[in-house]
Amino acid sequence: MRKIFAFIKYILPHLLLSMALGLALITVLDGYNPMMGFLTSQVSKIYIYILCALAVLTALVYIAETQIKTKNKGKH
Amino acid sequence: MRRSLPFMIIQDVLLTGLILCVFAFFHHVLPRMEAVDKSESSPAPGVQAGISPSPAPETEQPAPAQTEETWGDKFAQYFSQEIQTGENFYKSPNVSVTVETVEGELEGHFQRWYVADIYIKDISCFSAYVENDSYESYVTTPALELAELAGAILSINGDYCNAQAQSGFFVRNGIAYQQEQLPRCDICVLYMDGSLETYAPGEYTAEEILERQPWQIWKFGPELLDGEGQPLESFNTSSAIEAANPRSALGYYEPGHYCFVVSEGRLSDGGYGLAMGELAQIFSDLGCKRAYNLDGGDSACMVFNGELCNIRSGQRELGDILLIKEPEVQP
Repeated sequence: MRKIFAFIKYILPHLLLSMALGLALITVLDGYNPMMGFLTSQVSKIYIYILCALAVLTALVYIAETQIKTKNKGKH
Repeated sequence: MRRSLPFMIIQDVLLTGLILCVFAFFHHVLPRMEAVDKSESSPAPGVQAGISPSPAPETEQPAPAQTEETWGDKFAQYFSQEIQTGENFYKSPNVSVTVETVEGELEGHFQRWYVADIYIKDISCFSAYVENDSYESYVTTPALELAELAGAILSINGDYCNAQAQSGFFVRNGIAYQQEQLPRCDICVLYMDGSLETYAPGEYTAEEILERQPWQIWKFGPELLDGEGQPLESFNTSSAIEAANPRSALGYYEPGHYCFVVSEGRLSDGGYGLAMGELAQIFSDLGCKRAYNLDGGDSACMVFNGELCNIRSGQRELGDILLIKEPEVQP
């Protein structure tokens, strides 16, 4: 269980970074050809929802981790 | 889990590539595969499936409206009693098309573009076509094949409406396929009375336009002229699209009199490509009241009398075309 959590903690920011870079590229492509609907199609909307969910998760994990660290420091 | 920095960079780059591949698959490849499957099992041409035509669900093409002063009388000098064709002209009792090649320097670059001057006797001569009438499927066909299948005298590429068939507001040959108002897309409406208007987003409602009986609606843009024949100062598109490119556009003088303009581009010695402002100026100089940009780049294509006009024609298969043809029922 701890290993799985450690893996999730490791992969989350990388996934977020990759998806953010991907979105940046899609936005540039959309500027070149807006009629292809790179930012307005259903697939793009799902992509953005996933990106938001990942951002929230990453932030929650980071905040939780910081809280635990602060607590532990206080105990010592 | 500690990893070295180069390892993490490589891993993230690969992950980004993988994510983009998955996105491209769902955004582009899968809809295309579905479209091909649909077109293979599609009903006979003329029968619409899936998208409900509107306002009435009938799939038959409505009869074009009759105008009081016939265009045949008004433009009689341009028509001929019998069909006459030449290298750059076509004349018949119903249609007159003259294609002119224009070359010159614009903004320090060599440019070449083609102007097709069009007179028609009946609005049904100004038609649109996709293979198998599959406006809901992303099917592409070589330009020459499309022109031949449609019986076109003259054709240019359209707005690729079937690539984004589930959105936008578009009507083809009197049938409304979608009525969604796109927030950033100008539309061009050719009404059954022969008049042509262009609208920016927010300037129209689908109900108002459908009430006036549209014959064709294109959803690409941007609009190029202000309705008085003057070029617009800014265009409703991105700067990348505004830059010099091969172009395809249509212009409007008066009911029954139109023009198509297709320009070369991205060629070292055959034409640099027109910026949007230059294209608008060309239409203004031609004396058009309205003009509307269509899909450009490798799609920009003109076919006249069964032959490709521009050098870059045929670089890409087309989704749809605008065409001038003889009326199916002789007026």
